[in-house]
Amino acid sequence: MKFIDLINYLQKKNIKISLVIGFLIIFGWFICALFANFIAPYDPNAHNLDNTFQYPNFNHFFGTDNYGRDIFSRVIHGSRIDLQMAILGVVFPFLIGNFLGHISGYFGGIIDTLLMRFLDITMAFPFFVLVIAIVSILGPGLKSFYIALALVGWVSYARLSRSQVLVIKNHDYILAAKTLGYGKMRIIFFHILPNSITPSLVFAMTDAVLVVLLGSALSYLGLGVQPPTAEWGVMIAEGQIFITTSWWMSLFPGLAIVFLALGFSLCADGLATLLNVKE
Amino acid sequence: MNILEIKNLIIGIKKKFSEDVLVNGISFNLEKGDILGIVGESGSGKTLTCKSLINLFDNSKLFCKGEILYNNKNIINLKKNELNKIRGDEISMIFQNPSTHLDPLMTIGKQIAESFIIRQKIKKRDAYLKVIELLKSVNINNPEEKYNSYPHEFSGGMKQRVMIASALACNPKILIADEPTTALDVTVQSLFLKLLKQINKDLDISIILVSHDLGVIANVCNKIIVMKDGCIKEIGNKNDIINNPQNAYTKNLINSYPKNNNIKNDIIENSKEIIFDIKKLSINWKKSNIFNIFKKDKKSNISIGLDNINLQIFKGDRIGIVGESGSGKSTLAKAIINIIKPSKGEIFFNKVNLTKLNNDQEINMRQNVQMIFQDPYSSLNPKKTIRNHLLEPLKFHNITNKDSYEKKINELMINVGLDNKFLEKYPHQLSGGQCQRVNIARALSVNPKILIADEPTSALDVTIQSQIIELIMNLCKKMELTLIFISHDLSVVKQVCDKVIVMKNGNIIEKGSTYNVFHKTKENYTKELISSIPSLN
Repeated sequence: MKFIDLINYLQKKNIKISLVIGFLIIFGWFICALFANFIAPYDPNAHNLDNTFQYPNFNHFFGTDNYGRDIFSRVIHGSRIDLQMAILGVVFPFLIGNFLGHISGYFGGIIDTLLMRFLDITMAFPFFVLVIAIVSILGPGLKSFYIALALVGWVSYARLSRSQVLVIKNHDYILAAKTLGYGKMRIIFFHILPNSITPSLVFAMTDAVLVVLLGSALSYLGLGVQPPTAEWGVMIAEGQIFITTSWWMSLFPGLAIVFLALGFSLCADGLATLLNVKE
Repeated sequence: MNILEIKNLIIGIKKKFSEDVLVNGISFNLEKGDILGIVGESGSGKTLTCKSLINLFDNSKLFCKGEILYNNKNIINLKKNELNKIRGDEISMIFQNPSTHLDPLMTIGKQIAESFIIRQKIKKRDAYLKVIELLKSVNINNPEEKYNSYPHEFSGGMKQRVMIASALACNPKILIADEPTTALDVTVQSLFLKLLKQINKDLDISIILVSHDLGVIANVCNKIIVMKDGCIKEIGNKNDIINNPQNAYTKNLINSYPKNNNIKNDIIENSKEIIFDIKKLSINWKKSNIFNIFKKDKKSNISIGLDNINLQIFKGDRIGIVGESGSGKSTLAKAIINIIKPSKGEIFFNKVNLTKLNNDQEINMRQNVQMIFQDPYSSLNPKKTIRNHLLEPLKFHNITNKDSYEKKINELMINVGLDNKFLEKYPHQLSGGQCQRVNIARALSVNPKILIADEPTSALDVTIQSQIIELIMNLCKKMELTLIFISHDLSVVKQVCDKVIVMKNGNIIEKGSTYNVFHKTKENYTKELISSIPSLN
């Protein structure tokens, strides 16, 4: 197939070029994460004190750090943890938020009022502060990070899906479903959900970016992943002391975060166009 | 004398490599003092033509070629400040939906006075007097009082009159009215059309009236243009076109128009089996507001949907429910189909009280009573294929065994006159008429005994409307359905139903056989409704 044919095909299917690029970037990181052992030339945690603070060169593409560890290998291995954070950190809030949002929007009344006031209480606390507070209570580590995100992050999804459901439940096709005698759960999850999920999906992509940044920030504060594990936020934190002399220690993990975030953002942009076409 | 000449007008959408032509080289003239009617189906390009007459569209997306000559000036090529002199002062326009074209935060008087103050540089006090005069001329009572009202305090018909008043403010020579009565009730519509005629006569203004409703056009205009797919199919005097149409499409359009023929006085024998028995049904809406606790007058928070309705529906009836918007006809239908719970009173379906159904009875009732909705697009789920729409009820209600799903779906599609190739398509790929057929097929998929049709044709073009009505009538005969047909359009009801119920403000005003209601009318309100039906002659 010629290149121009490919472009035409994408346009016909309403696939934006940004979706393709974003997808390729995320896919690339997945490959890195899956085959980290084969791609990385060195053991990410192997100390080599003869070889500290190496400038980026052909042996060490991204240079080495204060223990002589190869930064390129560490960035590749770090993708395992950061991708895991991006996905798990979004999936739980996504599921909880959408479930509660749909229930709340569809039934209305007292259920809606109670859920929404609970949501208001959660929203009244600053997002970061609440996450940090929960993580410090549960103890540092990825597990508490996911729990904290699930407890705090669901609110945005609940708000988004509730507002969608409020609009969609007034459409005639929901009335038609009711006149056919379908049960409430069937109407919510088979008839409303496919139409209301789009904004949540798009937001999930943007949220993944925020989660990666938040995870890195927590690692930087010492509440997330613990050193010496290779994780981008930890690596930036470690490199911070040497930023004036060895800039590459923080720069390359930082760039990795930027690229992953870029991939998710482009995907979000493309998904929004792709999923909106049928309305 | 020609006041406006349109020569070879072409309008289209700009695309990157090509152009999509929407209005394809039309030419016509508007003579002074004429009322010119443009009639056509949706998508025929009539609104675009109108907007181009005062160059009122988005130039980044659309292009416009040809000549629109007014006072020897080509409006298409005019600059913005020259255009602004023509807009309002020479040619003004009123739109379809009066509520969205009035500023909700500005009083009625100020909105009209604005054009006096800005355009004609008149002082505020003089402008006030002029506005009062204008409001009087469009038949608004108590103009001094209404001057300080906001748009939401006005009814649809009054808003449309205010629109006219502001359009007439600067004494234009030409008034363009784009579907001005589509959002209005019939009785209001007939008053509005009288007003248009009066303006034309008294103020000597030429009018271009655009409508999809041939009856409205025939009522008011003395010249008619028939448009389809961006082309003019026929142009001529009203009597020539209505009585002696030349073009095949015009003939089709006129034949599809619901006829106002007299009907025979068939004696209807009620079958003894009562299907629905409605006793003292009332439905109220409560406005919930936390401050209501402090109010003494509790009644002001309740608005009445239906008020003490008694009705019996027999097997095999074809009942028409007519009334203006807000009369409670849809609410009644929703109560019958058990989606809204009654505040007072009871509805019995086959002697079972609808408010006290157990699960099995509810499933049984749902299977027996089905509904068709007004908006064909909004009543189909945009994320499901047509096959899914028809398959799901079959599975849910165990209508047939697994092996004959395909057979049943094919049978349904044949019944509603759709090709099988539509099965894999999504609703947005279908036209309005096709979507409505899918709706009917979905309703029939569970083999119902009763079909409720809530304004099934009012969102459709007139030629499609007559096809859908014919389809519904044929299916009723074939499947021995009891039909409850809700419509604001009396001529359609007359065609379809053998019994008619007239509703107003949540009450039943008159009920009886179609013949009795239409030809031996008792109530004044019904008489008014019947006389407001626009007819071709």
